Amino acid sequence: MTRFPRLLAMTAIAGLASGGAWASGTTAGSTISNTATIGYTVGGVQQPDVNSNAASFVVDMLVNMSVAEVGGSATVVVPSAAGQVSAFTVTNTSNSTLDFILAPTQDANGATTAFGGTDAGNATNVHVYVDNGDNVFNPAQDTATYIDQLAADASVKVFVVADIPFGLANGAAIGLTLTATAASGTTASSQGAALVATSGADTPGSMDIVFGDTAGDTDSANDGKYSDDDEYRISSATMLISKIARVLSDPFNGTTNPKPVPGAVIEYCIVMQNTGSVSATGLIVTDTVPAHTTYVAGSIKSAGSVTSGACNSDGVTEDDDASDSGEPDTATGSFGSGVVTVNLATVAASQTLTALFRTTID
Amino acid sequence: MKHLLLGLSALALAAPAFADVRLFSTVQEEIVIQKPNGGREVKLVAADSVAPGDTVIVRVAYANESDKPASDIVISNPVPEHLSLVDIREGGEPAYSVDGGKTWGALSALKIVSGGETRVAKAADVTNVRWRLTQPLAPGAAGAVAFSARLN
Repeated sequence: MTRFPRLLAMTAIAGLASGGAWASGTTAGSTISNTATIGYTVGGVQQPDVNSNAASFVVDMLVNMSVAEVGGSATVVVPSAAGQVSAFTVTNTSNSTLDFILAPTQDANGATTAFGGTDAGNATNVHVYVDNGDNVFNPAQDTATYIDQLAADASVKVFVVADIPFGLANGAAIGLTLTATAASGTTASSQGAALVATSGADTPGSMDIVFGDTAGDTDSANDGKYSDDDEYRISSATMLISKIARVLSDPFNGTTNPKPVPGAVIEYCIVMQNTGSVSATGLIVTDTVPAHTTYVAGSIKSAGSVTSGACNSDGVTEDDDASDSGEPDTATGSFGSGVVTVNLATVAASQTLTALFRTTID
Repeated sequence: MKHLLLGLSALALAAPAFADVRLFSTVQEEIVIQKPNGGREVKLVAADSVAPGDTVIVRVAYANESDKPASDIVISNPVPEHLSLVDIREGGEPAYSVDGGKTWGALSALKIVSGGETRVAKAADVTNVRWRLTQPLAPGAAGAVAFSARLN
């Protein structure tokens, strides 16, 4: 994932959108004062300069902020993964230091998620934490749950951390949205109250609060909030398993058109296809040797291939004991108590592997 | 002539009694109202609710309250800190300064040197404006100069 270049691009766009020279602007509460001076002569004699009154006004608080998902792509997760992190950048483009209240919400089931998925479930144990400045989520250090006193034009990373449920299919999405709400930033180490825009008549000579924010993904313009969405995308292994039996030979016809009669040799081919997007690991196949057949000692082969749905009868020959010693690969095969066990260890995404063994009909 | 800087408001309010020419400064906010018929109305209101990016009109009214004509009138107005000059609204074309009043001229004649490059000054670079009245101001006569500026 190309995280860094996308982040830079988004920063550039945010800079343009917020209007160049007065990105955050003159500090709220500043007094702007104008005084003019006049000089003149009377009868050719220069008179003392005269000053005007000082006409002044107080700069209002223009509340504005942005929330931007970091990375520009879904956070890829596997089922049951705990503490999965979705990162955002919150920027204070107000002309005042502010606190920001952070609220993660999850998309409705069936909703279209941030990167084109369809919301298929909810994450659990959802928390939001503010970065300590190193841009990396560290549970021990990033413990603040609101943004404390973010200066005008300053940015901070925010991490939504959640557990992914078990049971969602490969490609399923879990949509979420982070909303930052502007709050009073006058007190350090204490979450300020959400700001309220000054309504009705203006208050002359005092600092009013004006909401200048635009609409985010789930909030309105001029509401003192901004939101952006992201999603978790499930990446899992999906195993399709099938079993093919064929008669290799019989005592009467040999290998020419063999029939399944007593004494015939049957080959069982178990096909394991991973149609998911990540490796399946720890894969163990067990198969009970059918009644009225006898296992052919030393006939287990692992990690064979398939061509057009037909088993190629290839692979690595395994011994019948459960020990790895003497076996040439990481897979093992064993036979005991009427059960064939093949440990294939790993089937990569989009890979198909087989396990083979032979029996004779009693 | 000495150029007074900001911060003399207290003195200004206690204007000496012998001052025969008076100046009165106001700051108003210029707001644009979208009318139902699709038109736009530009209105001036008290500058009580000004946020960064808003435009204000700085107006200085003058009056000769003496019984003698006042001549060689020069009205100078430093552009207040945090404001960027946009344009002149009343009083005709003034002289501009981009260096705090050291040198004056037409805007197109002033240069800004930044980062080793020289460019022609823009309105936003202006630090001071100064109007010279060519005609004496008769007793009882009055007038005004004004400029618009944007809050940074």
